[in-house]
Amino acid sequence: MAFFGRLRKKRAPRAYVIAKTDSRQIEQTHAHITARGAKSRLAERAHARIGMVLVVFCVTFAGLGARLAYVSLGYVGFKSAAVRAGAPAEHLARTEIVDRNGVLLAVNLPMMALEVTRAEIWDARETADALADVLEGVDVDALEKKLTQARYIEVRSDLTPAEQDAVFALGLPGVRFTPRVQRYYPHQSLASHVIGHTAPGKGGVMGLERVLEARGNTNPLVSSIDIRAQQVLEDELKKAMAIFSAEAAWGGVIDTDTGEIIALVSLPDFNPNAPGAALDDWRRNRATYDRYELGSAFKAFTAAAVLETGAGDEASEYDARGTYQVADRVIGDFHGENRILKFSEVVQHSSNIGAARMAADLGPERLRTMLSALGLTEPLPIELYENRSPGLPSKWGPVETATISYGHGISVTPLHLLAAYAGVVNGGVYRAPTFLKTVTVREGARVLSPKTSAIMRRVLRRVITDGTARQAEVQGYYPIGKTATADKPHAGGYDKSVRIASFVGAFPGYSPRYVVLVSLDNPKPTDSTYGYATAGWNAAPTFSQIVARIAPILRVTPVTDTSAFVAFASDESSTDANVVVSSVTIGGAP
Amino acid sequence: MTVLSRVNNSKIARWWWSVDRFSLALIAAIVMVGIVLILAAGPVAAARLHISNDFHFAFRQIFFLAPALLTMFGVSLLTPLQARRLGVLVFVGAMMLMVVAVLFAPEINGAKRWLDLGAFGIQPSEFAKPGFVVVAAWMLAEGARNSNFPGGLIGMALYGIFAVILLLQPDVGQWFLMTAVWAAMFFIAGWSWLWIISLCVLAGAALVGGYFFFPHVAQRVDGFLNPAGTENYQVERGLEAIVNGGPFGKAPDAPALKMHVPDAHTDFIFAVAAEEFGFFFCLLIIILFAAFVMRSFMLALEQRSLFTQCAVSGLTAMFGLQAIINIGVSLRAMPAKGMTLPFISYGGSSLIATGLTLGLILALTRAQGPVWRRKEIMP
Repeated sequence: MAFFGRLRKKRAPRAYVIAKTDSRQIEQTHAHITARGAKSRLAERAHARIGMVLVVFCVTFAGLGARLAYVSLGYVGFKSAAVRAGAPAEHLARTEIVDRNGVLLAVNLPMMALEVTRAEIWDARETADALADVLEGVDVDALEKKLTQARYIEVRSDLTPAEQDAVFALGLPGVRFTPRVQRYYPHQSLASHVIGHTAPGKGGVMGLERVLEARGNTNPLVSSIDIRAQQVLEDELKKAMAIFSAEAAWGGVIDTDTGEIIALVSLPDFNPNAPGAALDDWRRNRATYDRYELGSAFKAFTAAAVLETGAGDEASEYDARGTYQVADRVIGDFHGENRILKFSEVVQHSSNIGAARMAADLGPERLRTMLSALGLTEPLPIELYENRSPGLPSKWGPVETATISYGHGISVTPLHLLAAYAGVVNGGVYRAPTFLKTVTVREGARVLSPKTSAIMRRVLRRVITDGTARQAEVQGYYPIGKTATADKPHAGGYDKSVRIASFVGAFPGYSPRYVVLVSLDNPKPTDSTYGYATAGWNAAPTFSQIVARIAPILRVTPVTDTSAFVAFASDESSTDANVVVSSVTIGGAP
Repeated sequence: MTVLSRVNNSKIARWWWSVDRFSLALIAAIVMVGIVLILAAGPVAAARLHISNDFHFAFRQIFFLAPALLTMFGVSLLTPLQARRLGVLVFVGAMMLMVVAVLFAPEINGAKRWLDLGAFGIQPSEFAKPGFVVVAAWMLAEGARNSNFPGGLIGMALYGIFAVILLLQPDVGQWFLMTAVWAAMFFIAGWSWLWIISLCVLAGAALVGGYFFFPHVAQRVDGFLNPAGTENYQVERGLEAIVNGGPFGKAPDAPALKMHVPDAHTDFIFAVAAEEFGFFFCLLIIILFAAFVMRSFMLALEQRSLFTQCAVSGLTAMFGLQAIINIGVSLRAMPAKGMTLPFISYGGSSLIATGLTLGLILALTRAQGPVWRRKEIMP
């Protein structure tokens, strides 16, 4: 018997003899004979081997005990399901964002993630084909490759119930659905820079989504945005960008009484539902994060400071002939009236010389105080994290004072300009802008007297009627405003061929309710602009179209000449800044 | 104990004084644990399977416990020779039923293991296992005693037939178990090391072959080697339940993960035990099984005939391995394999077959006084 190895063969003769011994005898005389018997040797070996098996079992049971301790006392590297179950619930609670009228801007959608376990599928090709059939945007070859390589594949993380039904109906093995919550932005790219977006694992990373991170309660966040006005602003800016082949564009609408941002656009924009698809540059909020030298728009601040401080009045005249030299700097006029200008004509014709002479009358201190009061020297206290402090000159010498008077040598964010203009035209009360709908009356700081503000309204009205921005006119709304065409700073100076054309204006001009800013980055001349690319030819008409469309949405009704003239002539603002109560209904005017 | 006094010469009294009472105590403890656990796991399984009666499994288990314990008691009354005869009968009968099952039984979960007997089904392979151990031990012992008798060859042939039927069902887990038990018995019976080594190589080859020719084996091995990749759903839920239990069991108000453990009442009852009662209770379960296995091996050591040594060791190895595999799978210490925890997992056939196994162990390890020896022909 080969099974029993050498032992049996070798010792066969001896074993044979003793095997016949009666077993009882063996027991009785085991001391002498048993040790020699083959059978007893077999029993002895069995004895030893049972011992070995016993030891193996003993060790195995001890190993099981150790493994149990290891698993049970929590050394296995995974969280228990109870812990994991908590995670999606948290995500579900993410606050919704709505616009000022309650329109949903950011919502949570329950979705299903579709996962495939490789080991459970029968045929990768068949599975990929079937899934691609019912799901959009699934590439058969790429999916098949993934299904043969990875062990665990998430095909999509955002199945709608209909898609889930479709996949379910395929009856594929190895397919699993896991509930997920998807943040969804129903308006796609609209207001994308204000709303921001979320990133997996980080939560909100931009805009109001990021603001939500630090916000405790779970009531919907009501933003100050009016999505209808936002739509118009974005629409018109996109059109203008296309017509004038601008590289970028931005704009905003602010409520002059409350400082609420009604609309804010930065183009090019992105779809927050797929933020990764856009370039980083597109996701940057140019209206709050970029700062620009916005040029001539500053002349209004200089003029207001002159009136407010008594350094001059409406009757003052400024010599704008030739050029004007301040220290080593020679200042010239682009529009070149080349004569002595009245106070309002300096702003009307956008005379750099006139503004510089005004600043010379003011002195650096008073100009600086005015700009500070209008919030132009500090970062804005806005809710968004995309915020920038202004770029100020290191010293305010005579040259700096002169150039800043017409907006060169100082760079601010577009939102700075918007808020400052609201303070100038609303009767003289400055309010920092906000992206949240205000329920209570917001404190404002008086920066100008109502009279100064009224004069400024008249001056800015003339910019449109007799000045550089004739195309900004909107029938019945008597808009006021100022053009600004600034050369882009360039290494070691300014690039005359690359400009930013802006128009900042308010409507209705006699008692402004909203200030609108329109900026085009490097617009090109077109046939219809007769080769011009200055703000009066592109930003101003864009402003006009925007106001014509949003005024009805914002419930501002057009008025007749008579009532408008009366209001313009009054030195008191109908939205009296002393009465900080939210708004006077302009729509009530005849 | 007056009824069972040592002077009392009734069959029961003689049984009581000759049977290994320490083993009996361990069995009683395991049965108790089993009752507690089926009460914890049964309602969960019933809920998962949409059975309206929460205690469906618990009641059935307790109902089956009576015949199982009776079987154990009855079998343990037998003398070694009677036990051997019973083993042969059971093996032959069960093998025939297995053939019938493979040929005619409906497929349940992809395998033909069950014979439907009206109110409940039986799984003949459960009974074939202890029968096979007894027959194989007999053949091995006979082969060793009589060099002209080809006991080893017969044993191997029987193993071959048994293995083929198990793989036809297919029931790779039982096949693996029986192969290990058979190997242990041959080892004890005096296999030469040359054979052991060459068969180890063969077994390795068979495992690799199984990996390549039985897709579901490959899948489970993959699942074991790469838990992160092909998450084995059952094992994963089971492990979570174990972790959730901690040292003393989950808090009464904590979420019960046992609700999500499939086969909570059978293959993964250990995970339920861990969640409900914690680490120390589970350690107790392991210690109980280990103690019984150790005790039985010790008794096997004391045996004087090769047949009883082999049979007791084989039955003990089978019982112990089943427990080890079941617990090991629950702890993700080995690839997922359906294996019941003897006397604890739910299942009528398993219970009664375990009763038979333990009865055989008890019968073969009874203390044999001079009186007994005369009456019996010890193999």
